Amino acid sequence: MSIKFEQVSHTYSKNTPFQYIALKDVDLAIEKGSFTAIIGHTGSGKSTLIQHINGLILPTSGIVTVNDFVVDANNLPKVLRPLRQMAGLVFQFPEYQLFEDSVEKDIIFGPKNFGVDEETAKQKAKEALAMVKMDESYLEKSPFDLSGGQKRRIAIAGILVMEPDILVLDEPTAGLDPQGAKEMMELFKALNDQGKTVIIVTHDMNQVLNYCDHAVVMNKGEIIKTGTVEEIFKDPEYLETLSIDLPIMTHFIHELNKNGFHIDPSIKDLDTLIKAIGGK
Amino acid sequence: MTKSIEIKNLFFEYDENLNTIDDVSFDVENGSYTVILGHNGSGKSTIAKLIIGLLEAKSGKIVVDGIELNDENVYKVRERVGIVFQNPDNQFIGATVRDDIAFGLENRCVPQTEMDGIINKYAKKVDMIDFLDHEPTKLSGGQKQRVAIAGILAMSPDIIILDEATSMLDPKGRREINALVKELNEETNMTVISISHDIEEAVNADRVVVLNNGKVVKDGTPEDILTDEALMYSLELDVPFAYKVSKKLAENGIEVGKNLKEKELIEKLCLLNLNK
Repeated sequence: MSIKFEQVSHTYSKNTPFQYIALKDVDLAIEKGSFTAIIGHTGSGKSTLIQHINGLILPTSGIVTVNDFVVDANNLPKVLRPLRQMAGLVFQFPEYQLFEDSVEKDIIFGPKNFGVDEETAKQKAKEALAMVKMDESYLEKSPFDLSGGQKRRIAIAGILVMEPDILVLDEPTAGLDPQGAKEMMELFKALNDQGKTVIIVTHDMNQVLNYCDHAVVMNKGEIIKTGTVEEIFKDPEYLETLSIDLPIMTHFIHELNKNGFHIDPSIKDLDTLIKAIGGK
Repeated sequence: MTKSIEIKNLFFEYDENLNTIDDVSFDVENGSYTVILGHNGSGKSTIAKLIIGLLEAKSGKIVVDGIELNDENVYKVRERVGIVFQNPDNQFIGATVRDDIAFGLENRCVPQTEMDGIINKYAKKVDMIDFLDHEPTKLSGGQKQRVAIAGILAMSPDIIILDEATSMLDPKGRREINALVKELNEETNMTVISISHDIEEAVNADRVVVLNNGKVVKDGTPEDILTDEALMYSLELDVPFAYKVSKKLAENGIEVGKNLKEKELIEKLCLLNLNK
């Protein structure tokens, strides 16, 4: 077991007029090495949930366990250092976090803060850059001269350089063009294949179908369903009530089946679908 | 039909000798719904910023509602155009959602007595009525985008430019917002320019302009453009799912025509006697 939430609640701006309960009594277990999607309507608590995984925010009540590390309401920031190395968090629009004047400096900022010497950090920066499929010529460039997609890769390299076991990604493909999004998802899949636990917040159900193995459904600060991706997409009417779409392929199959077809709704690729419809 | 926007021989460069916008010309009809497609870095957002005078063109002409954009007229142009940026954090002003939506109205000297009604109306339309007293900065990404859109719609602009303004919404939320914009487009004749990668949104537009490397590479109806697979893939864009299925079916001996919309495809399939 990699990550465990036990009765975790989180309230923003507690005891102020802005008080807002974002998570309510959440129980969740995420297996080591899995590729898990967190899905749900905007404002359902997805980002709040995942920000607990590296202790960026602490539970108002309850306990989060990551590997052997326990996070509760009383943790001091200093104590959280090993957790932050274990679990790397990539925010929405991570390119807005870039700040150094060269790509290399930006990537080595994290490891240097964790006490890694400059030479080792630079070596690791090269490896991290290779992981996000960018060549070393970018090291000396200013991150601000790069395109949006490239900036995002650099920001992600800045997390990968910490060699986290767990990679937590909050809508990592928002705003990318379809090709950029696909490359990004393939990168995460490759990291997952290397043994990293990957947790992704996404609204793109096609990504969930094509890349993830498990899904967690959230609604109004609560987890209302967990299971394999196939289990989650089995019940379109239920998902509809939660404002969650089906992947475009699954949706299409359900629509055909409503009109008298009998096609296996777990089909993932177009060729199989065409055969099922009746093509030669 | 009159033109909402006329763009003629527009050039713009961020760096010397590298034209981000490279001789772009196109017109937008009054009351039309235009989608500008292109991959990241194609110059889409730059054009939006040029239209409202946030950036200054190197050469060329932009005319908005008959007013030529220049130093003198820039505020007149901005009165007519509402723009919603991709990252809503870049345009929040108010301490609460209510204040934020009110900001634009205050600037336009809308009387206090009318303001509350307008704020409630648009907050309801974007499904944020329960959040009027919340701090915009503490909302989720998708909720922020809803508020940003409400703030612009409340001002009833003649022209709205949406720069990937629904990128953080879930697909259903995105469809709802797109439907709301389409409704206002049809009911109030608001001209819509939507900058997007969303092929499924482009299916429902009146017109699609495709940008690549700062040039208009194709301009036409959704049917013309979205079925041009070679073009779409060369621009790293996708083609609509229904079209992919239709084409693949044809290759496998089932003729259903070139469908862009899923509903039409399903209707046609139902008429054929297949493996039901």
